[in-house]
Amino acid sequence: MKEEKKFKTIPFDEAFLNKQRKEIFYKLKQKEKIKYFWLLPAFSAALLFLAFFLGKNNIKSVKNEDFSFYASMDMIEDLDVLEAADAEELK
Amino acid sequence: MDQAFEEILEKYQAHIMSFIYRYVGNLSDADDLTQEVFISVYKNLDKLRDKDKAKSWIFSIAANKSRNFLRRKRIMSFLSLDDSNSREEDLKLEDVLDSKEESRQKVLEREEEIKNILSLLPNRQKEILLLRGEGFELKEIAELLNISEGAVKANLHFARQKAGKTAEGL
Repeated sequence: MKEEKKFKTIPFDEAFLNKQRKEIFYKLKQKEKIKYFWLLPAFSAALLFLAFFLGKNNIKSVKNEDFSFYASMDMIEDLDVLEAADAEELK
Repeated sequence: MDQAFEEILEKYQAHIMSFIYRYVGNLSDADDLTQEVFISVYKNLDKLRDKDKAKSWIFSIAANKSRNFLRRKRIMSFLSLDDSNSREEDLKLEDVLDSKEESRQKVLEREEEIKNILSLLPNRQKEILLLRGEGFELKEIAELLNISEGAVKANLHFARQKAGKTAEGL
């Protein structure tokens, strides 16, 4: 075929092809690096989870403290009641 | 880098670059697309089971990327978002031709003629004609483009008709 015979491969300069090859290798290396980028958000997420978990425990302990505080207040109130009862008895 | 990939790159780089340049008609775009093709090849090399089909496989990636590129470019120019038509090419063919090639002027003339012929063809006919020019059989082209052999024959017939008339006028 007349037109097909014309379709020989273009004789590119070897320096141009070498440069293109280097660019391909460079881009592939960049992509390899990017492949491990998911580790960063995963690590951040793990840290956030840890912070949340520890924070939750802290809140629990605070709640417990508060509860013990209220419990002691109840005890004082109970004591007041007992004292009042004793005083009544002594009368 | 894998030895197999380096061999493929060395063997097909110039062929793919030629194919894409003739398909998209711009050397800077062809340079970018050729790089994209080989990055795709590297990423999917494990999917290539039959090494004898490596050539068909790589050319199918090149054809798909070129077709998608031209489609995207047409949409962008329709939406007036791409001014690449008015932009000057960064790369010129005469600057990247083998300096040892004695008939450089002849190569440039030949490529200009091919460019004129191909610019008149729809993408499908263009890629079939180019693949035929790369030595693929009709059956291989049909498999590669995922169309019937009859469609390849018909497209090739129309492409030859148009290309023949244009070539006579040049």
